Amino acid sequence: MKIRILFSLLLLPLYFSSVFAADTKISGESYPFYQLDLTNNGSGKGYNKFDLGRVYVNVTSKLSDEVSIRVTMDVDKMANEPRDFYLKYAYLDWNIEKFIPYSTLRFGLQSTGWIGSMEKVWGRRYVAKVLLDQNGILSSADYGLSYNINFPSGYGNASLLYLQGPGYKGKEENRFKDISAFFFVRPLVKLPDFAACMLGGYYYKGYSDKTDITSENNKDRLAGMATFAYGGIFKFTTEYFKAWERIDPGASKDTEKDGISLFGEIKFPMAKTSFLKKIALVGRYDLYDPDSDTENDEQRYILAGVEWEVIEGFNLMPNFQRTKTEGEKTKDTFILNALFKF
Amino acid sequence: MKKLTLLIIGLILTSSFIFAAKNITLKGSDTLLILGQKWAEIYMKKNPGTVIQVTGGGSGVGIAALINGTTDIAQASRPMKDKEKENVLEKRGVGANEIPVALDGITVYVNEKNPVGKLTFAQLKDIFQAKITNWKQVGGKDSRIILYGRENSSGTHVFFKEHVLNNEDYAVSVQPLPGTAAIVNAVAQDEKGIGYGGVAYAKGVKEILIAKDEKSGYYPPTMENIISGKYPISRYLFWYTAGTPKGEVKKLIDWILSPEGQKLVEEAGYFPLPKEKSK
Repeated sequence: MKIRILFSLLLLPLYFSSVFAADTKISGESYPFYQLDLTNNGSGKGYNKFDLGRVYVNVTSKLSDEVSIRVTMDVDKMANEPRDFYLKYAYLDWNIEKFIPYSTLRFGLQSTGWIGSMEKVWGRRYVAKVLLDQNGILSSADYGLSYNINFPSGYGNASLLYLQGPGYKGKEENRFKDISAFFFVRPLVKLPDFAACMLGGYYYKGYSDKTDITSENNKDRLAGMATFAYGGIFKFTTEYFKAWERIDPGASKDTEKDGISLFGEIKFPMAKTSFLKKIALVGRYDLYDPDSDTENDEQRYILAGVEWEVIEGFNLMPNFQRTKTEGEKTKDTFILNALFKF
Repeated sequence: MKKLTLLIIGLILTSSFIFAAKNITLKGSDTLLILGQKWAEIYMKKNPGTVIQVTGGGSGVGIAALINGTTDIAQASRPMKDKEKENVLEKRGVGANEIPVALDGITVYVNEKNPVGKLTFAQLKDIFQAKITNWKQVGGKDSRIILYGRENSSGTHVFFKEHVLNNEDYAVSVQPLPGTAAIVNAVAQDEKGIGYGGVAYAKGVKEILIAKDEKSGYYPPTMENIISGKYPISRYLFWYTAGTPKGEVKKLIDWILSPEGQKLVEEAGYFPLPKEKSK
C-alpha cells in the first residue's frame, strides 16, 4: 500500500506539469552514500554499506505574478529499514508587495525557517544535517502561516511564523500554537568580496507536543549565527543555540540544552585548472550538551572532507566523521557522500 | 590530524602557483557582442599572452553563466535583478560586481522605404502591444505592422518591456529573433516591419525619432540627446563579475574603462561613459 502511495506521489509532478505546463517546474535531489566504519560502531569495525540518505522531489508552480505554490515529497530511505515518505512542504506564497513592500505571506506546510537558512549557509545537507536538526532540537518543517520580508538590495530577510508545533511528521495534540521569529542580515553586501558575511538571530516560543499540558510546558529555543567570508575563497560560520524544555505534563523544571557548531570551507576560485575551481576543503566541529544539569553527557562531532563539484548538479564528498559522547567509545566513519540534483 | 593539516597547507601552496589565469571568457548580451569582440581583438593584440573568448546568447544567458561559474564576465544590457544577485552570492560565495561599460540608446528601426520617421513614446507602446496595428494610424501607408522583438533571455527585451511597455506584456504577434542583428536584417527586408535594439546595429534601416509625448520634440538617439535626457530610451550597458575583479580580468576592465577602451566604444557605434564613470 505504501509503495502505491509513494508512486502516486512521485507521479504527481507529471500530473502538475501537464496541467500548468508553462509555469510549473519539477526539481529534486538525492543523497546516496557509501559508509565504512573505522571503529566498532555497533556493526563491527570494517562494516560497510551503500545506502541512500534522502530523496526530495519538488514541484513549484507560478499561478500568477503574485501567487505561487510548492509541493515537496521527502523520501527517507535507509536500505535496512522500511521506506518512509512524507509530504515535507505544501504551501502557497502570496506576494503582497502591492500592499507592504518586499513582503510575502506563506500558508500551509512550510519550512520553519532557521534550519533551512542554516542549511544554505552550511551548503552540504547531503553530507550532514545542521546543528539544531541533527540533535532533534527543531523540526525543519511545520504547518502554519508566516510573514516574510526580503530587505531591499540583498541586505537580508526576516520572518515571523505562527506554527502548529509538532513539525511535519507529527500531529497536533493540544490547543497551543508556537510562534517564532528570525532574521538574517548581510551588512557588507555592497562589498562584493565580503557580501556573504552574515549575522542571524532566532527565537522560538513553543509548547510541548503532548496532550494535557499547561502553558508551563514550554519548548523554547534561542539561536544566533555569524559568518565571515572573503572572496569566495573562505567562509567560516559559527552557530550557537540554547533550548529550554518542560516536555512532560507535571514536570516542575525546565531541561536546558545548548550547542555550538563551527564550520568552514576553503575554495580556489582563482585556480587555473577547472578541477581545482570545483574543489572545497570542508571542516566542522559541533559540541552539544543535551542537559546542562547532567555532568559528562556532552556530545562532540567532527567532520573533515574534500568536496568536488563534478558537474552542475553532481557533487562528491569523501569525508571523515567522528562522533564522541563523554563516557562512551569514539565512533569513526569514512563516508563517500554524493549529491544528485535534477 | 597532522597529516590532514599538512595536506591542506600543501594544496593551498600548490594552487597559489597556478593562479593568475590568462584566459578570459565574456558571455551574454547580444547588444554588447560587437563591442565585446572589438575590445577583445584589440586587447589580445596588445597583450599576446591573453586569450579572450566572447560569446552572445543574451544578458540572461551571460548572467546564468556567471552564477554557474562558467564565465569570468557577464555582459548585460540590463541591470542584474535582486534574485540573480542572490544566486551569485549563494553559488559563488561573493557578491555580483557591477561595472557600467558604455551608454546605449535603444533605437527603433523601420524599413528605409517606410515613410514614418517619428513616433511618440505612447504610440511606440501601443504598436508593440498591438493596439496600433496599421501604419496609417501613425501617418504611414495603409499596411499591417509586423513586429520584431527579442527572446525572453535578452536584456534588451526586458529593458524595452520595463521602460517602454511600462512592464506590461508584449503583443503575442511579436516575432522573437535571436539577436539585434537578426532584427535589423528582418526589418531591412520587410517594408512593414518595426524592431528595436542597440544603436550600434542601426545600419541598412531607418532610425525612428522618438518624442516623450506629443508636446515635446522628436529626437534621434545621439550622445547629446541621451545625456540631456531628450531621447527617452537610453541605458547603461554593464559587465558583471563575481566578486571584485582580480588579476588579468581586472587589467582588462581597467583598460576598457580607460580613454583608449572608451574610444573603441564610439568606434563600435555606442556612446562612451560620462567622464565621472570612466577612468
